Parts: sequence; C-alpha cells; structure tokens
Amino acid sequence: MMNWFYLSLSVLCAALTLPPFVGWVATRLRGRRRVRDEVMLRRSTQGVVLHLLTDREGLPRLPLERLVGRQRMLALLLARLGAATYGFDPDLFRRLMLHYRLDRYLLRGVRRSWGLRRALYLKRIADLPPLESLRRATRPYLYDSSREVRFAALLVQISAAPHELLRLVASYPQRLTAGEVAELLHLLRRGLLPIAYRPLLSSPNPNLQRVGLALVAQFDIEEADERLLAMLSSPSDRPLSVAALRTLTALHRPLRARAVVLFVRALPPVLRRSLMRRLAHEGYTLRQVQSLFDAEQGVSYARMVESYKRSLVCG
Amino acid sequence: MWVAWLVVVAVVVVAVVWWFGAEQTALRNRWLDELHGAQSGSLGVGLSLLVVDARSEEEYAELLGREYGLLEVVALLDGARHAELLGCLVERYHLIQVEYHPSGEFAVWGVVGLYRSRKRRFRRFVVVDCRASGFQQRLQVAADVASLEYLLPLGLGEGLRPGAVARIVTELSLHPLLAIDQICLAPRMRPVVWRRVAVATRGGFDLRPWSVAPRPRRVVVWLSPLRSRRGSRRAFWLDLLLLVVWLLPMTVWGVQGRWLPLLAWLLAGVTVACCRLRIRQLDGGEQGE
Repeated sequence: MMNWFYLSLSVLCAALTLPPFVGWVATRLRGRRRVRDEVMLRRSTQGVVLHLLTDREGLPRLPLERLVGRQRMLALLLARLGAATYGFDPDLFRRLMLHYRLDRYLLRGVRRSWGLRRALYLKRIADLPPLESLRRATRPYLYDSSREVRFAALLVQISAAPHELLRLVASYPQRLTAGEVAELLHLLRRGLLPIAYRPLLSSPNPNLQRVGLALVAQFDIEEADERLLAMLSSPSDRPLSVAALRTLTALHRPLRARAVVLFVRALPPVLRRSLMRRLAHEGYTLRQVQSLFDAEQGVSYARMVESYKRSLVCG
Repeated sequence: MWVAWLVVVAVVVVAVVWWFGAEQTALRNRWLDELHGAQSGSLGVGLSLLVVDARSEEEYAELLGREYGLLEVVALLDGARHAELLGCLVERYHLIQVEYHPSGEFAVWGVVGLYRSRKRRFRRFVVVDCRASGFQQRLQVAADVASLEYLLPLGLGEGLRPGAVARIVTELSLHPLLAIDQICLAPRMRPVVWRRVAVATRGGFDLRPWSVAPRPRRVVVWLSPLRSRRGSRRAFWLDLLLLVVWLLPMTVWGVQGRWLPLLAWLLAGVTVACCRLRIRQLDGGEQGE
C-alpha cells in the first residue's frame, strides 16, 4: 500500500510541477525579449505617427511585423496611440487592423479564454478603433457569467456606437460601480461620448444617473446643483443620494439647502462622522455646515477644522 | 512516518493553492492596470498612508509622488529622537504646527504636535510628533489624524510597490461604495488596507492573525502591494531550512536503496520549489503580457 501511495504522490507532484514551471520559463523568456520588443514598438509607433502627420497613401512599414507575437504587439501599439491622441482619423488604424488580421486574433483570444483573460481581450478591443465585425461578434458577451467580461463587452459596444450610450448603460443588468463609471468617462475624454448631463440626471435609471453625477463632478457643472438637490430630496435610492452628496462636497458647493440638511441628519452617526472628516478635508468652514449637525457634532467639527489651522494668540 | 508524509502532502497542497492564488491575483492586477479611473482621479476613494516609523526625506518624497489625488500621507515621528529630520520636513514642505484634538474614536496618547503644510500642493502631507511607543499605539495615533476613508499602514521598513496605490483604489472602486472593510493578504490573511470606520467601530486595530472582516466585506489578494526589506532575508533562511529538510531523508533512502519514497519525496520538493519560484516571480512583478 505504501508503494501505491508513493507512486500516486509522485505522479500527482510531477503533474503539478509543470504549470508553474512552464509559467516561470515563459515569463523569463518574455522578460529577455522585453527590451527588444519595446525598441520595436517605439520604432513602429514613430512609423505610424509619421505616416499620419505626412498624410501618405497606403500602409506604413512596421519593424514589429517581423516579430513573433506581432499581432499582440500591434494591438498594444494601436491602443497606446489611441489613448495618447485625440481627434485623429481612425481609418489608418482600421486598415492596419484588417491588414494584420488583428480582428481575428482578438476574437480568437476572446473565444478561447474565459474570466479575466477574456475581459482583457475585450478591453483591448474596446481600446482600438471600432470595427463592425468585432462589435457584432462580441455582443453575446454582454450576458457572460463574469462581471468583468460583461463590463468589457459593454465598453466595446459603447466604443463602437457612442450614440447608443443611453440604451446600453440603461440596459446593463448590474449597478455600475464608481470604477466602472470612471472607465466610461475615460471613453468620453477620447471624444466618444456626448456630454449632455441633463438627460442622464433626469433619467429614472440609476446607472444613467451615476454617469450623470460623474460628468457633473468631472466638469464642475454648477448648473446641475438643482438636480443634485432633487436627488437628495427623494432618497428612495440611498447609495445614489450619498453619491449626489459626495458630488456636491467634491465641487465645494453650498450645503445649506433644506434637502441637504434633512438628508445628513437622517444619516447614521458613523456616516455623519465620516462626512464631517471629508468636509473638513475639503475646507468647509464651520459656518458653512453648521446647520447639518447638532451642537455636540458642531463642537467636534470645529475641532476638526481647527486642526487645519494654527491659533495665534496676540498680546 | 505517516505523519511526515501527511505533512509533506499538506505542504504540497499549500504551495499549489498559494501558486494558484498568486496567478489569479497577477491576472486581476493586469485587469486593474487596464482601467483608467485612478489616473483621472475620478474614483472618489480616499486612501491614507500611515507611516509609523521614521524614514528618510527621499522616502517621504517618493510616497508623496504617487499620482493619485485623494491620497494622504500621515507620518509619525518622535521629535525628540528625530529633531533634525522633523526640521528638514518642516522646511521642505512649509509645515506649520496646528491644533491637535483627538477625535475620540481611538485611545491615543503621546501626541506632542501636529503639522500641516501652508502650501496647497503639500496639503496631503501630515506629520505627527508623537512619543508613543508600540506599533499598535502608533497606528492608532496615525489613524486618529487620518481624514480619508481607507487606511494603509506601512510597517517597519515597508514600502509600496510601483502601481500599488492605483491598483488598491481601483479595486476598492469596483465594489459598491464603502462595501469593503479590508483588503487581506493570503495565505496568512493579514489585513493590509483597513476601512477607517470599521477600525473605529472595533475600537482600534486588531492585529491578531486571522482576525479579518467577514467574507462579503473583504477582498483577498495573494501578492502583496507592499515590499519589505525584512521579507527577503527571512525568505533566504526559510529556503535554506527547507533545503536541508528536503535533502536529509533522500540521502538516507538513497543509501538504503529505497527508490520509491525517494522519488516521491524528490518530486514533492520539486513541486514546492517550482511553486515558490513562480510565486516569487509574480511577486517581483515579472508578469509579462
């Protein structure tokens, strides 16, 4: 019996040794090629930029086309260029993608992987100029079991069809988190999204309202105060109302409105203390927020504010 | 002898689970690196770095150089022992001594002075002149002064890996607002990031092993966002001990001509070594694409 145990353990350990060892070797080899790959990437980037600036016909010759893994490198190059530039004509990028069959490479990667690897491939597709074929092929992944894959597929759809933002975000099945909304705003900064905040804040859909709040905070839109206060007045969606209050404080807007006072006084003491610390950090004076707190909390807040100042005693 | 083999099997299982967890964390880190929220500063998640031991000026400058808007560095110094360093920091960052009032959420003592900068660009640097000894007490003083929602204590000789702040705040922002109380480092389940309100509710930092938040309120990572000078020395001595423990029985079996247990022992050791090699590679950031 002991011999069976030794043999079974030997076979199991031999099998379990392979994956980490193969991973270690592959990463070491990639690390050795990294310097050379970066040089090729830089030269190819220069080639593409020169081609764009001089408005030449045809496709640029890229040094990285001789490399193993050129499709992965090309996808990285185009994604980096797309993130670093604004307002260029994506036609050259699309022609490069089709010439090097980047769409097939990325779709193959999406189909053959799952979980976070699939999300990474989809994110790469979202970072590239949109192709209709990729948009159609990735639509089923909006219903994948992994949240990251669903979100990355949403980014692909929005990147390819920005005019459908309202419909796509409204139909997204989960509540968008702050990180996901920030990623949508990043698409906006690439010039892909409209910046009309009113329809977003007025929408009954919480995801659209979150995007609207993020737009207001990002672009410091003072005209949105009324709408933000309205969100506090009807706190049927508590997390959204807290987000509206945080937007007001981040913009350093006045907090004396009745809606703000009632909302803050209804918060649990723990959250109210957290809010006090945030207000002191943002630089609100005691007079600006006195109506939000009772006498004891007012004293605590005064002490917090004093810890940002030095008291001068004259005479 | 059965006990020894059970221990061997347990070690192999732990090594493989650890390796698998490290691969998942490395993949998750690649996903977090792809997201842009931390660069734009629009995540709304505040992080306070609590530096409870005295560092050099360059180390403080390096921590303050992390490009994230809602980041605060709370540095604790004993002004009596590090008067020159305190003077240098006051001059470099235009610090003034301000009023200190304990918040009442933590039991603190030993605070002699609190310094903040007059310059807006250094507003997120706070220095506390504190005489308290003991790591936990110093942590509580730093937490009492911190003003942002999440706390990241840096222990003796600990620093941050490149990109650690961006990954931490991005990870926290991918959960509902303030839904996460801790980010814990497996397999010892040591919390590395704490939610301030949760710490205050418990009355302080609970540094006992495995005293972690319940599952829905914690995020578990297998690769540390911190780097430690002590860690590399400890790893060297552990490797040496494991090598001796591994070689001794094989030598005995080899002499006795018992090849099956020798083979099983050898392969078990090779599995654990490969897993440790790969984990260390991932921990060092050599992930490639």
